[in-house]
Amino acid sequence: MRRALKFLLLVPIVGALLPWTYNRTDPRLFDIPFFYWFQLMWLPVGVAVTALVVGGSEE
Amino acid sequence: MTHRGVNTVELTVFLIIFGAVTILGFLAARWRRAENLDHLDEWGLGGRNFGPVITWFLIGGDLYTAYTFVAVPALLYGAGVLGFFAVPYTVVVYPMVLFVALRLWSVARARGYVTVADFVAARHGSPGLGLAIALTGIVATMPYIALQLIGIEAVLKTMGIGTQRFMGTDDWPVIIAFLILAVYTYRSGLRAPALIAFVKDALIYIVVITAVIAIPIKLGGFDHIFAAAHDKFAATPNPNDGLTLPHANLTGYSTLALGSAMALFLYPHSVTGLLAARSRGTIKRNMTALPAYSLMLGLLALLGYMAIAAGVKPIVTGGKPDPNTIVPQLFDSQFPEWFAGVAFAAIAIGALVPAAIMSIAAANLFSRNVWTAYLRPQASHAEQAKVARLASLVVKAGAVAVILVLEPQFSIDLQLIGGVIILQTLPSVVLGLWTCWFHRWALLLGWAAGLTAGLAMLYVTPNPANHKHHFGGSLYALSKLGFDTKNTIYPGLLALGVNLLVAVVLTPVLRGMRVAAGVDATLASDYGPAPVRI
Repeated sequence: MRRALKFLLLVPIVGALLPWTYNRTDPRLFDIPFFYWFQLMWLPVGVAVTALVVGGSEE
Repeated sequence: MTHRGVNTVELTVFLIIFGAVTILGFLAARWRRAENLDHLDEWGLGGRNFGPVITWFLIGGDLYTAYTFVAVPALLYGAGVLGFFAVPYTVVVYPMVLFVALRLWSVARARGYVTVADFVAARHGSPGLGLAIALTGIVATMPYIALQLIGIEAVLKTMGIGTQRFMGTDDWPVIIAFLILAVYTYRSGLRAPALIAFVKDALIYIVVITAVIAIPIKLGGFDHIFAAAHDKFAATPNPNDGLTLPHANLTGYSTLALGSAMALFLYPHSVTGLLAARSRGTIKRNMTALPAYSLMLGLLALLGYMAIAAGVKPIVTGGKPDPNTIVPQLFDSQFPEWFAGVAFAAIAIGALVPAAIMSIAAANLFSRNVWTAYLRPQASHAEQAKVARLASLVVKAGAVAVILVLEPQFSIDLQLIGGVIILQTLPSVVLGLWTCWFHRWALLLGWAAGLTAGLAMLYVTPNPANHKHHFGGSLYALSKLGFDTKNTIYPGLLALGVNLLVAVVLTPVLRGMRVAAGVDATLASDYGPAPVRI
């Protein structure tokens, strides 16, 4: 289980590195084009996943 | 922009803050005082005892440099969307390096390694490979330090300084700033940037939060800002700028972010920040807390578009517009003078912190992996510390010389090259943390092949926007390899592929030829929690 948790780290890594999925301007958020806010959104995802993996590891 | 006078209000605020920080730098030698600084662990790693909070400020102050703050928005201002690669880059870096950082910290603590080259030499049983890794680190770091000077210069130019000549040079303010930096780094070691990083980050956060709230309101909202950027890029003939990526640059954008993320924690200054941490827990907490800086960087990047909407123009010196002056110029035009002074001090101090850590990291490499490994194997701890302190002065003098003698553009080219070459240390360092399967000579030859391939690809990359024929950017056209495609790719990753291929193919060949393999000086238990202390 704990070993499998590590693979969650791939979610933000792969998600943020696929510009094919977010290379457009709509829908906008607070007037900011999709391309820009969608990538920023991966930051909290990365933090959540890292915290989960770190919390579930040894020590 | 026409010649401008010195802005006294901005300059006064700037000098007060800068002066206070200088005093702090000298006091740092007494902070968390060591028994003596005559040991590289103390001078070069701050006693290896920084907790989560100090480490957060130190690594944050180390990775998010003044140059980043100045150059990333400048890239969005000039080239549009491509500059935003800094965001996915800093999103993926922490999940990616989490386990790398933990294993490296543990083995370094267990075995007393000060540099990443110490680890490589011991793990692969090859001081020669350690030397190659150390020299790569030093070469990649030097232009990075020089770029911090460019960040300071951009601020000074905006305040109207640096247009007057003094003692035969326009660069005198930067020389003074670096003299101060050199003296307190020499005295206080890593404790100086660690202490100053608190001030730097507090100032930077205040400035950035103010900027991303106040400037869009002043400019009539994000809608207007993005519309202005769109109009600017639509009017240029360049197909690569714009608010979204042209199809051909999708692979380039993705691989640039990935390759930059893989390179970041191979830089000596990043490793120095990591190894100075007190415990694995400190590193774990930081891998979840450091992305706060990335959020700030993402917001900051948009200042480039805000500058377009505000009609900001770069300062022209010697007939050439300097795009790095965009952010200071934006602050100058949008903030009250006193707050612009605060912002400029934040950028300048933001240059000194990483410059100090970089010079310490390069100095540690020289002392351990060149001096002690090759010239004076019997060097005592005190001698190693002394050599490192002197080397830190030489490294900084070298960076100043680079700025004085060469065009700033040359430093930018060198930094681009730096990212590609530091990536070639990945097999020896990162894969080495998990396996010593690779033959030491295969790693060395892979490294050499990767360097050659990377440099060759960068050399043939032109930049039509500024009529450069070589080292024109970080996207390599795959068509140059004979592929029928318009797609681009980050050359560092491609070079790493060559590097790995050579290492993987030659390892069994060298074994078959019975070439002596290196002896691993580490134990499997060194890499995990609760390392055995020696």
